Amino acid sequence: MIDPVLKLLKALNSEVGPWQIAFAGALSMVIGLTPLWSAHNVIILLFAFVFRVHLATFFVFWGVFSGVAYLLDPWFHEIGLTLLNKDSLQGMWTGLYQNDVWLVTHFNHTITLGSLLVTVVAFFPTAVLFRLGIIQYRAHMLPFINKLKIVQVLKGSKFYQLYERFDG
Amino acid sequence: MKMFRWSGLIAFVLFTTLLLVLGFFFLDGWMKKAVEAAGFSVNGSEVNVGDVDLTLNPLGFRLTDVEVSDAQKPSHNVLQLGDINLDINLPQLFLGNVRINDITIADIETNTERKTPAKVAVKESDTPKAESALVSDAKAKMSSVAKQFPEPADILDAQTQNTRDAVSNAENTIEASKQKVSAAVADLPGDEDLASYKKRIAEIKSIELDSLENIQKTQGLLKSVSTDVATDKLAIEIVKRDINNAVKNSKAAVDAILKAPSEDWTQLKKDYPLNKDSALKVAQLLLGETFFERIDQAKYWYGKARPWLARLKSEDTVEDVKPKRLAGEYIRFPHPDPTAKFQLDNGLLSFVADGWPWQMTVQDISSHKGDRFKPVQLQLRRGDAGSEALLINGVLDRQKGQSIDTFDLQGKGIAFKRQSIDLAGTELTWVPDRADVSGKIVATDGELSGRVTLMFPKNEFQATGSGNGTKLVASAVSKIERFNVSIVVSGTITKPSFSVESDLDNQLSSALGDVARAEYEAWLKDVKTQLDAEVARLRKPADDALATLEARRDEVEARIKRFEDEVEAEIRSLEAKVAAERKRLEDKAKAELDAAKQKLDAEKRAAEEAAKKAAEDKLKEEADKLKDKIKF
Repeated sequence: MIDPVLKLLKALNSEVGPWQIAFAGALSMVIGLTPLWSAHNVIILLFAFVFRVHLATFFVFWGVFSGVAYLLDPWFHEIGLTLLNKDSLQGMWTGLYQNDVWLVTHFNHTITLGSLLVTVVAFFPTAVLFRLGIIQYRAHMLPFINKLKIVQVLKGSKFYQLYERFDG
Repeated sequence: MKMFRWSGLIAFVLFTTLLLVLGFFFLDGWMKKAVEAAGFSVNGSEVNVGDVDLTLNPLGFRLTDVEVSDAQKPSHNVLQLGDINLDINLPQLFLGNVRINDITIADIETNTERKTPAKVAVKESDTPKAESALVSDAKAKMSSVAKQFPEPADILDAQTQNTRDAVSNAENTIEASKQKVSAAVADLPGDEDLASYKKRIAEIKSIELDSLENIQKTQGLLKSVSTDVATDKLAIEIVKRDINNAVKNSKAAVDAILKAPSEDWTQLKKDYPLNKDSALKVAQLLLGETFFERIDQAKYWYGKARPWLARLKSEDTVEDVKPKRLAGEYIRFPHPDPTAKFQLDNGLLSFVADGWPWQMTVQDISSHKGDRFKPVQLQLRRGDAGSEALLINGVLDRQKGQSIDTFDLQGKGIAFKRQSIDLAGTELTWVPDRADVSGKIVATDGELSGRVTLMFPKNEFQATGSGNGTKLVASAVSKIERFNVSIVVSGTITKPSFSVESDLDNQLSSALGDVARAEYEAWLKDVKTQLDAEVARLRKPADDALATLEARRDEVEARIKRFEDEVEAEIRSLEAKVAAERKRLEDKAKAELDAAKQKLDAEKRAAEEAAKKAAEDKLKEEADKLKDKIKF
């Protein structure tokens, strides 16, 4: 687990494109906040692998968002339940329910629907926020952190140099 | 910078393939764990699966050595299923629906011993189950039957309650009276008091009544004694009153005992009447044990199957249990395909019981309810097809919001056990030939209605015993060759009730009526004799206690009489004597006083005359002197 974290730190501190990290974070939000064994998560995994996003960031934030998901599940359940019981949408849901392909997506599951809807809506805003965060971090926080004695000591240690050589 | 990372596609394919391969290898284990976990949850105790194999033809699973433990008896299995073959629609399984195209269960054993005791789920609350109406009814019936002509000695305790109460009341009253009398007797003047009185009287007697002074002294002493006697006399009167009241109350209590047996007798005849309601239902008695055994068995298996059947509830059924919050909830919508969350197209269950091969087939069990719902077809067969001994065809319909389950029964050559019943002192043994059965039971929304008829074409009755009753019973049953018994089913599935009707009763009733009446009269006479003896036995202590009390009263009265004789009479006599003596002395004194008075009067008169004469003489002398002077 420490390896992806180190890679994430390295990416933050390196020249890795902010969008790469931002989209990795947004994709991890989708897979982390929605129930794992859902069909759409196969597509999310496929996107993570195929698109040139930062995989270490993806895996780290997947874990982070999975932990947060338990707190948000009741909210997702309420959203899903409201949408699935909405009279004006009954025709659409019935049509989807009668199609086996859509049944595979478990769209009629309250938490799955609620969480997927929220994460899809929040996808791009999250990505933009991630990117802004990275830029701000690199501009303001990184020089300050690099000046810290402890960071300098760590960077000067043999362990870090070994890691750099091994990873490099 | 390139947007795509094509090497990632390869990694993704490898990753998902690896997952599928791993899944294939672990699928059996997951299935085994899933079945065991689900079974434990539903059954309430451990369900063990020996082995699970994924089968490719038919596509599904084969489960072997499935043990369903008994939650009430963890050392045993309710069911042991040797071989279960499931033909499952796997694509539907991925959609979350369990669709079993075909299930075949073989090698079924029941009540087998487990190698290790099963784990039992801890119940949140173990509320005692209410006794079923059937069991209560059966018990009431057995109690009612048992109440017919019991042994007299057996009912005496219960049927002499009024007498026992009266005797108990009398004993208490007499005991209280005894204590009161004993307390009162303590207040009576005793021997010492009597001796004291005698001594005082003797002292009074010793005084010479020769003077008024002595008489006054005697009277004073007598007055003192009389005052003491009056005080004692008052106490005696109180004692007398208490004793009389005590004896009176005790006699009243004992008199109540005399009335009590007649109340007991009235109650006894009310409890054991000879009327239409208490007439023996012979067919019910003959069928009773077997019948209720079968019902108990059916209820037992229904109880075991109920949690499993509950899993097949319609999706449209509103469930009381709220879904777990974090588990979410699946919302169902109308679907043209009747494929439901659970569907079993065909099921076959075969086993051996009672020495017969049994086979149960089910078709179209589905949790789906709607226009395209197909009624569940069920068939239970005892024996081989074509020559079945018992065939039950069932249709479970769930249309238009109503549940209608129909069961048709047809059976041939059903064996019934030889039965013996005690009928008014005659042992009646019934040896039935094989019976035919036919009937129909319909359960509409859980409400049962139906009738099952048992036809006994050939019967043999044996009446053993002695006396006229046995002859009458033997004569009555000798004319009966065939009869029918109808079992009318009503109530609900969970609380069914049954009533038995038979023309056997009608055939026997007239003959048995005479036997029963004669037997009843003889029984009543016997009961009366024993009741009288029991009452006499119960009364004896009260009678003895009353006699003791009366003897005590007599003894006290004798003591009072003796006191009255020896003290009171003596005092009265002494008082009379003193009064007479006083009168005599007073008369004598008066006579003396009168004589003295007369003498005094005479002396007075003489003195007065002498004085008068002297005065006259003096006056004359003075006058003469004066006359002499005047002459001067």
